[in-house]
Amino acid sequence: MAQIAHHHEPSLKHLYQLTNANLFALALRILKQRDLAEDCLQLAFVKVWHNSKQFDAAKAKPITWLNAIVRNQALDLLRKNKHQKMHDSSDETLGQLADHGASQEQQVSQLQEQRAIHRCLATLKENQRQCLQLAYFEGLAHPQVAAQLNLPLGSVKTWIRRGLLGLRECLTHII
Amino acid sequence: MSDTYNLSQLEDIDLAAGEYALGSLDAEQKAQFEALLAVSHDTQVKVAAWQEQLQQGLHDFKPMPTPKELWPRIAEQLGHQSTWHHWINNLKLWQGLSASALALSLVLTVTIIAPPWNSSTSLRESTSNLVSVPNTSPDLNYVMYNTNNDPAWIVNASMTQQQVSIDTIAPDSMEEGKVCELWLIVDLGEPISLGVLPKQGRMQVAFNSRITSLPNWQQLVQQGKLVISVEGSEGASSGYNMGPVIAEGPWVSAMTGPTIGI
Repeated sequence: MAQIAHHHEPSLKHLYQLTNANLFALALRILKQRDLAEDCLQLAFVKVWHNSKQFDAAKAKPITWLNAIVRNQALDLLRKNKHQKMHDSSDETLGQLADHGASQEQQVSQLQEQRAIHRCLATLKENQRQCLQLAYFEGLAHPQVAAQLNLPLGSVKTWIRRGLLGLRECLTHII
Repeated sequence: MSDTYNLSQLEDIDLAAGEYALGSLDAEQKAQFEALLAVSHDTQVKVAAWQEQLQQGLHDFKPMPTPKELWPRIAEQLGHQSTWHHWINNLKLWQGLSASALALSLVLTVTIIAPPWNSSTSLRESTSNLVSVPNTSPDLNYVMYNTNNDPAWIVNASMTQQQVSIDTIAPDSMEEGKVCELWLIVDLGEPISLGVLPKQGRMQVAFNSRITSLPNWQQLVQQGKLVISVEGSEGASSGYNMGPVIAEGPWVSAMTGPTIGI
């Protein structure tokens, strides 16, 4: 990261090679559209190029910082493009994605298979998990989560807090 | 489980950091939290830790290959930006030059036209130990809220620099001739004034010798209590004669160190 901060392009390329597949999967998970996910990754790496001096190794790991940049970029694009039909997580949506070509079809199928719920996520109650995922992958705040799930705001707040604490508790025992 | 977060409480700050990393705070809560985040390194570390945990816990997908042409697209964009065109087309560069020119012109205007320092005299008189400060890392924090429950002032104490920094966020407007005065009570002694709270901007108050001469003064300060009272424009005559107390509470500890944006 220090070399990238000095605009050493081969270092950025190396970082890209190490992380692009994970970051692309995150962008695709949020945007559900390959061309948008590619744009997202491009914009994110340009941000990394310009903002790498802000990275502080004492505070966060490089991958945590990169994930945060890609997620924020993806959520920005999601809000701007408002492809509501494309991010409803339905089979129909994934089917539409699969129509883009054989390689994409293969990848989408892979994505579906790979969406096995994370071990810690599986320890949470369904409503807690749903609230956390809506906030994290769709950028929804309490009121929007409550509206989307047609639930009282207070319940959503409680489930999110309990979900966060449960997730951390589980991770603490695993790691 | 309370419906709102009290950002003077460590436990609430921790959970609010989780919600901030998650992105679930509504606009008002987010603004309140960001006011604290801007000055508290400890809170920034908490957010980064939550980001990492959320990534570990919620990333329920596996790597996906990117198209081969994506890196060349990125490299091309960077290439255009790293040439001479980058400097010519660099908006920030021109904004910086414009800002520098504006700052220079203001300095010249003030130096040539304005009488020296008249504008700051009244502030210096009412708060004799207050001066402008550079950004420093806090050791202890206290957030004072206004009647809308938004941060009014954020108080940071640096033990190493033996000073308190006060950031004005959104204080309630005061009745004419009234001010808010900040007090520190340590070891159950007479409240020690840290000065009149500013109406805008950032101010710094040095711990006076009554505090720093105490044995274990840093520990005493940390265990001490902050009180905010309403006073006449001159402030209270002594700690035993303070006006009505409108807020009080303990410090929230924060780690010292460099800060970055996450």
